[in-house]
Amino acid sequence: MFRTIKYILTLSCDEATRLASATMDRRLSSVERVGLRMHYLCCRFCRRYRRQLHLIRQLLRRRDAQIAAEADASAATLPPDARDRIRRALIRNSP
Amino acid sequence: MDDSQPDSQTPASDPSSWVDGHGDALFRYALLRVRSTELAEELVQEALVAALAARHQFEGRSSERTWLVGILRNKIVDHVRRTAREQPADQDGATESAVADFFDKTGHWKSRPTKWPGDPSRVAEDQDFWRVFDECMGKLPGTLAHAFTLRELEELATERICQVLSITPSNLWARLHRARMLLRRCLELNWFAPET
Repeated sequence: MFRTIKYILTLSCDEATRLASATMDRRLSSVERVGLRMHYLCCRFCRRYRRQLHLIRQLLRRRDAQIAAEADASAATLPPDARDRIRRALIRNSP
Repeated sequence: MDDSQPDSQTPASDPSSWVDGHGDALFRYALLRVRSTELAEELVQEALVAALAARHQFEGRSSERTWLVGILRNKIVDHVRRTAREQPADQDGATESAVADFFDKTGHWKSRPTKWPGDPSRVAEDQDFWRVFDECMGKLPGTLAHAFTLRELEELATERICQVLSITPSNLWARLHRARMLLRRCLELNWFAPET
C-alpha cells in the first residue's frame, strides 16, 4: 500500500514517458494509470510528449492511407527494369 | 443443373496484368516499410510469384489489390523476421543509454520537449517532412526500427510481434519506448523546432 502510494506520488518524467509509450501497446495497470494521470496534471512537458507521440502515429497512418489511395502524386513508381524482371519471373513460374 | 454458379468463383485476373495493375501500389507499400528500392522490388516480386502459386485460393471476397497487399505483408514480416535473426543480440544494450540520456539522475527531462509550432498535423502533405522522417527512421538502431515498423506501420498486435522477433513483451515495450523517444527527438531537432 505504502509502495503504491509512493509510486504514484513520486512518478518521474522518465517513468511517465515509459508509460506514455506503453499506453499505445497495452493496458496499463490501475496503479500505473493513476500515477500517469497525476503526473500529467502537473507536468506539461510529459503532456506534450504524449501528444507528439500520438501525432506521429496519426501522421504515419495518414501517409499510409494516402499512398494506398494513390492520392500521393510524388510517390515512387516501380522502376521499368524491375517491371520487366518481375514479368519474367511470373512467366517463369506460371503453371 | 449446374451451369449457373453465381459469384461462387471470382478467379484472380490474368497474372500478366498484375505488374501494370498493382506494381506501383505494391512497390510503394513495400518501400515505406523497408526503405530500400532494391529490397522493395524484390519483395514485390516474391509476393507476386507467391500470389501466382496461390491463385486458386483467391476467393474474390476482397479486392484483388487487398489480396495482393496481404501476401506482400506476409513477405515483409518474413523479411523482418529473417533480418532480426541475423542481428547481433547485444544491440539492445547499446540503445539502453539512449533513453537514459534524455533524463537526469532524478528522472527529470534534460532537454524538454519543445512546442511544435502551427498545426503539426498538416505536415502529412509535405514531402520534405517525410524525407526528414525517413532519415530519422534510418538512424534508429535495427532492433528498434524493426519493432517500430511492425507496430506502427504494419499495425501488428504486440503478441504477434513478439513471436516474429522472438522476444518477450516487456522487451518489445522497451524497444518501442526507445524507438519513439529517439524518433520524436530527431523530428523535433530536424523539422519541428530546429535549434538555431
